Amino acid sequence: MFTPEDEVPAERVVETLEVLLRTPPFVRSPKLARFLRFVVEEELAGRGTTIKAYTIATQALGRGPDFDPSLDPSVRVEAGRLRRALEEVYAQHAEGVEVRVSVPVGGYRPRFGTMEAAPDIAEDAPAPEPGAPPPRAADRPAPAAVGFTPRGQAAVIALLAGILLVLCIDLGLTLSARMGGASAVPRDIAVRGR
Amino acid sequence: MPRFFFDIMDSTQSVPDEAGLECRDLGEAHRQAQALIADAMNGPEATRIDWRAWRVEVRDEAHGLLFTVPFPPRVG
Repeated sequence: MFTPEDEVPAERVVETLEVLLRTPPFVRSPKLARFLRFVVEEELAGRGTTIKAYTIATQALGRGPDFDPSLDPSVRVEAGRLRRALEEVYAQHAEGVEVRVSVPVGGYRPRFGTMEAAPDIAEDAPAPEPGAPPPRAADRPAPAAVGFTPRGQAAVIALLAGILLVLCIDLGLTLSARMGGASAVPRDIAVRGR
Repeated sequence: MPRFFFDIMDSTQSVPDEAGLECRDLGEAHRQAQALIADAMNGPEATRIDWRAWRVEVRDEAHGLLFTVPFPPRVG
């Protein structure tokens, strides 16, 4: 779980930001570095709600005022790259990094958590692509054992009860047919015999 | 690990990849391309973008084209 944002002091976030910006992915990409610095500083300044594709494009990525986020996916694309870059930094260059910065899918506002806590995979996982298996599913560790939740247990019990009920009905119909059939044969024979 | 670059473009616009990503192999590079596509298509704002025209060109460290991954037509 992430430690809630308000438990991470702003000065620690700022220190972490400067460390992050010196790591290889952000040194290689000034564009991603500007993106990260902009969203973190805006969030810390209390302007998180105004972080939109348009403000990122025009204030961090050098786009003109005619930038139209409904037709230009640049910010969406760079946000995806920013998420991948942060993943790479925390996997390979996390020395001296005290705060975990993430930008959850579906928005551009950053979240801050302490490094002592494991990242919240559910919140950070990219949305599954429609009609395709989750793109990063192969990277997730397989669970050691599969267990049922109480809801799952109830579903399994209901399914088994349903199967049992169908079998009972089938058995009853079979027996009924045999018994009915046994009495029908003599009538049939009797009719033919006339 | 080798570094791969994921340039995203349609016929008129291009969003070149400056940083690239380290991937174990081509399979992981393909998964990363799909993750970038999913991220782009699930942005917070409504768009009128025709995603069918967009694609990811995956390139090696020498920026040679390895393969292309098209965007699906729409978000499910």
